[in-house]
Amino acid sequence: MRPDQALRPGPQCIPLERIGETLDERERGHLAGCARCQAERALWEQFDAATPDADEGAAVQWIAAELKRRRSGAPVPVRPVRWWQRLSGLVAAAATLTVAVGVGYMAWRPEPGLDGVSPATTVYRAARVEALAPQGDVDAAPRQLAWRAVPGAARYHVALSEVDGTLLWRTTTDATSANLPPDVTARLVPAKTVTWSVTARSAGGEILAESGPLRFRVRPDAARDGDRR
Amino acid sequence: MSLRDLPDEQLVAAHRQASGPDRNAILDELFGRHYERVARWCLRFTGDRDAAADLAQDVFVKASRHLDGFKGTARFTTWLYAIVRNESLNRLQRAGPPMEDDEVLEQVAAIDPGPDVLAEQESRARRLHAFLAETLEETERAVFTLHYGDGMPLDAITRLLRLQNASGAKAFVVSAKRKLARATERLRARGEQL
Repeated sequence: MRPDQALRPGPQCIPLERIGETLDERERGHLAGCARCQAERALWEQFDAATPDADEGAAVQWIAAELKRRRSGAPVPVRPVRWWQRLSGLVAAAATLTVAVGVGYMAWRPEPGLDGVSPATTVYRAARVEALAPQGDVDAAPRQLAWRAVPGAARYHVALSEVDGTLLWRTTTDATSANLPPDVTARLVPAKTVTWSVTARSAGGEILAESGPLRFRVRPDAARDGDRR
Repeated sequence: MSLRDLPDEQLVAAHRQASGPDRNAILDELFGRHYERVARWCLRFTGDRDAAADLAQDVFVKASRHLDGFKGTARFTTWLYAIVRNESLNRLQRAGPPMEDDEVLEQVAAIDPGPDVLAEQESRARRLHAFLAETLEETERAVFTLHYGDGMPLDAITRLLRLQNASGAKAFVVSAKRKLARATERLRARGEQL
């Protein structure tokens, strides 16, 4: 028996649901000699402590507000726009107008090399993560989810769920793909539709773009992984 | 009496009997009381604000699903703690394989007295716990148990146990390993087994 197995809770250990309660005599006796239960009790005491430390107060408040927002289904809050931001918006609008007029003028003048210029197209893509694969019916259980990079994104939150919303797996990455663990891939059986989504966030945690739910399924007639071996 | 005046356990009971929007209002009140506590844990566990928000959300989704299973034999906070802790460790397991074997574990494991029958395992577990209690200080024991028993990362343990020393949990693991190595050597020298 390996010691790391012995360090896991045993049948005599205090159940987690009791670890924060007033312990009876047997439990107190067990606690005195069990490193596992002592560790659990130490964790519980930190969980039960009333106030966050000074260095984490703001983050804790943000998370609590985020939980409340998610539960209410409210949209992601938009930060208040300051006057200088409005001004910069006006400047940007003026610049865009100038470019549009300029491009229009250039397009109107039949000079070579400017056909097909469409400087505004990427602006609309920025609010959406463009998924690459998988989507629709696929021949085999995918081992990777992939999408296009979003400018300014520091990380991507990826979630894989069943169609009823039950979360199968989630991860955070700074790459534009995420490898599915084998145990998750094994659950992607033929004919079962699943959804996945990607949210791009800035370094400050703001949502830059979202993919929305993307559906795929392994074709019903596809052989399962184990069958192919 | 408004929802705010009810203790957690009575809110759970009220939730069982309520229907429609009332159920949501009760959950809002009940969960709202614990958002900060759970947020703090999740922040310490993940070390990342966004990941913590996702973890905390999963905790409350699970709590919502299993609320009818709350029997009221313990405080709601203790019940919620069990969910928070299990959900956190489940996330570790989903994130990757358990940590690789460690030298000190191999060293202690080498003092294996015989066949791995269940009764013997329980007995060994008790002896190992007693060995840890004799050999290690309280914080060393906690860090060692969480790291090697649960595969909890050292930085998460540092934050969860609010360890204030410069190198956090790592220092306690190093000192624990050193002490255990010495103690196992002494056992071997005496021809004793765990």
